Amino acid sequence: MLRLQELSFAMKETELFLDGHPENRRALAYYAEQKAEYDAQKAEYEATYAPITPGAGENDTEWRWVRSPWPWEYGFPDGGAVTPAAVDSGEER
Amino acid sequence: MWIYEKKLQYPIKIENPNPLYAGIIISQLGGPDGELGAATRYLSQRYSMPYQEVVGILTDVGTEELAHVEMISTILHQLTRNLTPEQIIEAGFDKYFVDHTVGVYPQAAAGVPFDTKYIGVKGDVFADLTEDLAAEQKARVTYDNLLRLIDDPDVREPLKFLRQREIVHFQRFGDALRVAQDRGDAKNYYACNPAFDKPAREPR
Repeated sequence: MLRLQELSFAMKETELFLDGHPENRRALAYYAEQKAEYDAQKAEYEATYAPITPGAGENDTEWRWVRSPWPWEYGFPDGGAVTPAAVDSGEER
Repeated sequence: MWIYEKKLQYPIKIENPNPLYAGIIISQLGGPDGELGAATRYLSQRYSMPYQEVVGILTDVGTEELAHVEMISTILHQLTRNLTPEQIIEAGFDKYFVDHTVGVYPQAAAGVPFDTKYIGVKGDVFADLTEDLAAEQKARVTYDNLLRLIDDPDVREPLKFLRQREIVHFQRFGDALRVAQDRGDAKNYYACNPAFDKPAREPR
């Protein structure tokens, strides 16, 4: 999850820059790179752990969207758990 | 987090501008039962909601409401294109125009700016869900009233779609209430607030 957050933040930053500089080659190349890795990592995460958007991954027998913790519930289904104590002390996961 | 999709939930193409219509439809953007309040209400209620299914419904309905904010804003924009000062005065749109030109500002039809006093987040499962059920009905009535006043089919069709969505959301909040009741004490749902009193979390 941390890697996905890093990649999507890199994409968001580049998106904002590209909005004002739509022909910047370096930024375009950087965006393509981040997006390719994000798409791959996201597909793997959603297949292995839980959907990030409704309907992602396999939902043959169960709607997995409501079967994993929400982002404010101190943990992610890949085991990247954050305890309330760690949050309070500013400790990194 | 959210990602924007560059499309409307339902097509909107209004041929004839009409600032009078804009002046009343604006209530469904920033009025007491408008879409902005709906999105804010549901997305804010999620944090104290102890049931996964209900959080899912609040998240997904709240997200759809954001798309409805965009639909209403699109209608307002298309209804206020290419206006002359005479049309603005004739339609009584002058009081809005003087402050906002033809920008889209969330307010009620009577000119009161958007206010979170229109929404409730009580932090109680049953209080919040019954608020949501009432909110959907009130929004449906507002669409009924708009449809009583508006003739143009270009405007009516998207409003009819939005009215239907209020009914569907009412039904889905009915599901949410059923989920909450199934988890509660059938003899007295109000014996405790599962969003605060322990045990607050459903087993996973």
